Amino acid sequence: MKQRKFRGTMIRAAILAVALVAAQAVTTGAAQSIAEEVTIRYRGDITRLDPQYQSSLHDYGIADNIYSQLVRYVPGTAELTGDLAHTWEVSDDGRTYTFHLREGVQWHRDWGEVTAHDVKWTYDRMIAPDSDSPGRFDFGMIQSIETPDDYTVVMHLDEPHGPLLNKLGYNRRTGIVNQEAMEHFGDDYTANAIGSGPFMLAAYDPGERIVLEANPDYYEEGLPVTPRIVLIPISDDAVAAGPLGTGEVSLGLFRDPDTIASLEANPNLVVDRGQQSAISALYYRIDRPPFDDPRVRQAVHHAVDKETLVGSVLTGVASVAHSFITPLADGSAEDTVPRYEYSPERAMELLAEAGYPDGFSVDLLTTQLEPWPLVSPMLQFYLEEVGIDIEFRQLEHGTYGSERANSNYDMVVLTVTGPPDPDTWMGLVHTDNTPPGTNSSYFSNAEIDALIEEATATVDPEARAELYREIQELALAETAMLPVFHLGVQVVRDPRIQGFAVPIAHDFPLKNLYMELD
Amino acid sequence: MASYIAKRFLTSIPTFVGVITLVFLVMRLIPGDPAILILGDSATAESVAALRAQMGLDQPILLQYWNYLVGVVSGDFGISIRTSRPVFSEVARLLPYTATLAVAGIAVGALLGITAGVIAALRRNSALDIVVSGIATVGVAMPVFTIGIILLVAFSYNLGWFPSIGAGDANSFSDRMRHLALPAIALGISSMSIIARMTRSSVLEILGLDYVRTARSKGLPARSITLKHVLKPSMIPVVTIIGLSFGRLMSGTVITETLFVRPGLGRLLIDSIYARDYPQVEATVAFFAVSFIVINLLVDLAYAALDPRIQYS
Repeated sequence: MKQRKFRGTMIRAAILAVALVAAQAVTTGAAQSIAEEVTIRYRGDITRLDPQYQSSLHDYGIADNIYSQLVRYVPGTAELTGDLAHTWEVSDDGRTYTFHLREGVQWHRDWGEVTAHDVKWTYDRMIAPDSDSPGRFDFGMIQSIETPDDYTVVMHLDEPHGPLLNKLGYNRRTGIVNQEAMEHFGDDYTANAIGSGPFMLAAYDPGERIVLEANPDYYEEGLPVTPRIVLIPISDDAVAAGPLGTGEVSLGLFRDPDTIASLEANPNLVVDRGQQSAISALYYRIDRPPFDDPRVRQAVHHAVDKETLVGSVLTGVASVAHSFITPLADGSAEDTVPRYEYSPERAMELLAEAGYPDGFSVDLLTTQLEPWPLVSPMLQFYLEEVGIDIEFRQLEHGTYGSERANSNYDMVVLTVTGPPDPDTWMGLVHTDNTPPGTNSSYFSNAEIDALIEEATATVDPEARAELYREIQELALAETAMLPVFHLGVQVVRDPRIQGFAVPIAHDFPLKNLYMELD
Repeated sequence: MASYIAKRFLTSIPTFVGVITLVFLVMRLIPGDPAILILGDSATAESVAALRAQMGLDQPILLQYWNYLVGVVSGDFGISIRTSRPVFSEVARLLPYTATLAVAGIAVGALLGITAGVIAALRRNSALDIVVSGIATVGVAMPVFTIGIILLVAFSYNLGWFPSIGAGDANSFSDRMRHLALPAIALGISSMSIIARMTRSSVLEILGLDYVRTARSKGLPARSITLKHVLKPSMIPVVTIIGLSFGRLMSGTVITETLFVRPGLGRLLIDSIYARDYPQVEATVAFFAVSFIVINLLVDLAYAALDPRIQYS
C-alpha cells in the first residue's frame, strides 16, 4: 500500500514537472516560471457540488473543473469536443446515441477508474421518475441507458432529440459522479466532492474560499497548468474591484459597466471581452389588449433605439440583439430577421392606427439583476416618448421571478442563458411554455409550434439550423418580443494571467490558466 | 439569582416564539418562490409544482407552521433548501466568525467610546469636548458601510496596511487579526459614537452628585475620584447601551461581512433570503433572537455587579 502511494506520488510529481515545463514552454519559450498558486474572484459562493442537484449558476462553474462530462465545449467557444467520450455515434433514426469512453481515466484521490457504469448511474439517478433533481426535466427524453461494456454507453431516447449533444456538453448537471464516493460521504459530500476533471477540491470554506488543486491523474497531458487555484466568492462587482486593484485577486468576471470602466482605467489590469450564450429581451402580454394588436407591438419596436441604448449604458458589455438566438449558435438568424428602424413618429402613427392616439398605461416588471437596472429606465424613457405611460416596477430578483412566473405584468424583461443551441430559446415562443415558462409574451402560433417540434426531432445539423432560422423569421415578423441585447462577459485580469478563455455561459474553464512570474 | 434567571428564561419563551412565528410568516408572505429560483429558465408549470411538492411548500401554511414548530421543539430546524445540509450546522460553523467580529467590534466601540466620553465629560465645554462630541455625532450619523469603505480605501487600497478581503489563515493568529482589524474598527466606530455620548452625559451627572463633591473636599486625588467614585456608577446606562448596540451590531455584521468578504451569519442570512431558503433564514434569525435575549439578560445581571444596591430575587 505504502509502495503504491509512493509510486503514485512519484508519478504525480513527474506529471506536475511535465506540466510546469510545458507551461513554461507555452509562455515565452525561455526559462520563465509560473505561479504555484493563483487567487481569483468568483462571482458567488457555491451551495453544493452534487452536480445533478445543483441549481445555482455559481455551482456550475466549479463543477465544470471538478467533473468530467461525456462531451463538453472547447473553452470559450460553442464547439463540442469529447471529454470522457472520445467518439460517439448517433443512429439514423436519431433515437440511439452511443458514446465510446476513454480508457484509464481516473477518479480523484484513488477512487478507481471511470467506467460506463458511472455514467449510467449518474444519469439514471437524475432521470428516475422519483428523482427530485431539477435535471430530470432537462433530460426527460432519455428513456434508458445501456452499458454493453466498461467503455461504451448507449442512450436510448423516446424520440429523436437534436439538441441532446449540446445539452450533454453544457456544464449544467452533466458532471459524472462516483456512486461509491457519494454514498461514502453522504451529507458531507460537497466538502469532499470526487470527480475526474482537471481539478480536485482541496478545501471548501463556505463564504470564504474554494481551493482547487491540480488533478495529477488528469487524462489531458500537461493540464491543468496551475497547481493550485483559490477562488474567493465576492458577489458584488464594486466590492470585487478593490482586491483586484490591490492584487489580492488576479482575475475576475465582471458585469457592471461602471466598475469595468474604472478597472479598465487601471494600467495594471487588462479586460478581455466575449459574448455570452444568452438573450435579453422585452416581452409584452400578447394574450390581451393593448399588445394583442400587432400594430402596438410594432410601435414598441419602432419606439426603442437599441443602438443608442446599448451604446450608452452597456458600452463594451453587450451588443444589440435583433433575434432571440445567440449568434454563437448555428441557426441564429441575427442578420435575416425583420428589423424595425428607430422612428418615434412611425411608432406614434401605429399607435394612433391601433386606436391609441393618446397612448395607454401599462406596467413594466424588471429586476435588480445587472445590467437591467441600467437598461430598464432607458426602455421606460423610449416608450414614454411615444405616449406609452409606464408604471415602473423594478424588484429584487427573487420577487421579480415570482411575479413573472405568476404573470403579474403587462411588460417584462427577461434574460435567458443556456447551452449555445437554438433549442435553449425555443421556449420563448412555444405555446406550451407560458409562465412560469419563458414564453413571457404568451405568444402562440401553431405553425411555429410545429416547426419547433420538427426542429427538436431533427438530428441533421444543417436541417436543424434551417428550421430554427425559419422559426425566428416567422416569430419576429409577428413581433413575438423585442430582442434588446446579447449580453457579453468581461474578464478583468492581471496581465500576467494567461490561458483563461472568456466563458460563454456558466462555464469557468481554469485548466489552461496560469500566471507568469517576472 | 437562580430564580430570577429562571423567571427571565420563562418570560423569554413568548418572545422567542413570537420572533420565529413572525419570520416564518414573513418569509412565506413576501413574494418569491424557491422552486422558481431553483429551476430558473427551465421552469415549467409542471416542474415548479413537482418541486414545490417535494419541498412541502404545497401544504397549507398552517400545516407547514405546525410541522415547523414540532421540529423546533425537538431541536430540528430543518434542511437548507440551497445546500441540503442541516441548517443549524451551518449556523454553528459560521458562528465563530460572526461572534469574533461582534465581540471585537463591541470591544473597539466600548474602549474608544468610554475613553472619549470620560475625557469629554471631565473637560466639559472645552475644545476637546466639542471635538469629541462632534466626532460622536458624525459617527452616529454615518452608516457602517460608509465607515467601512473609507477604511478600505485609506488603509487597504491606498496604504496597503491591511487586507481587504477574507478572514485570514485559520492557522495564523496574526493573519486572522490583520483581517479582523478593519471590519472590527468599522463596526466599533459606529457603536463608539453612541457609547461616547452616553458615557459623557452619565459621567457629568455623577460628577454633580454630593458624594463626589465630598470626595473632592476631602482632598482625594482627581484620578482616584474619577476611577473609583465616578466611572463605576456611571457605567450602568453605558452597559445598557452596549447591550442594545449588540442588536445594531448584528445588522452591522451583515453589511461588514459583505463589504470585507468575510464568512459569517450576516452573509448567510442575506444569501438565504435571496434564495428564499426558508429553513436557513428561520434558523439564523432564531439564533439572532436567542443571542439578543441572552445578551440582554447578561446586561441586566451586570447591573448588580456595578451597583451593589441592585439585587435580583
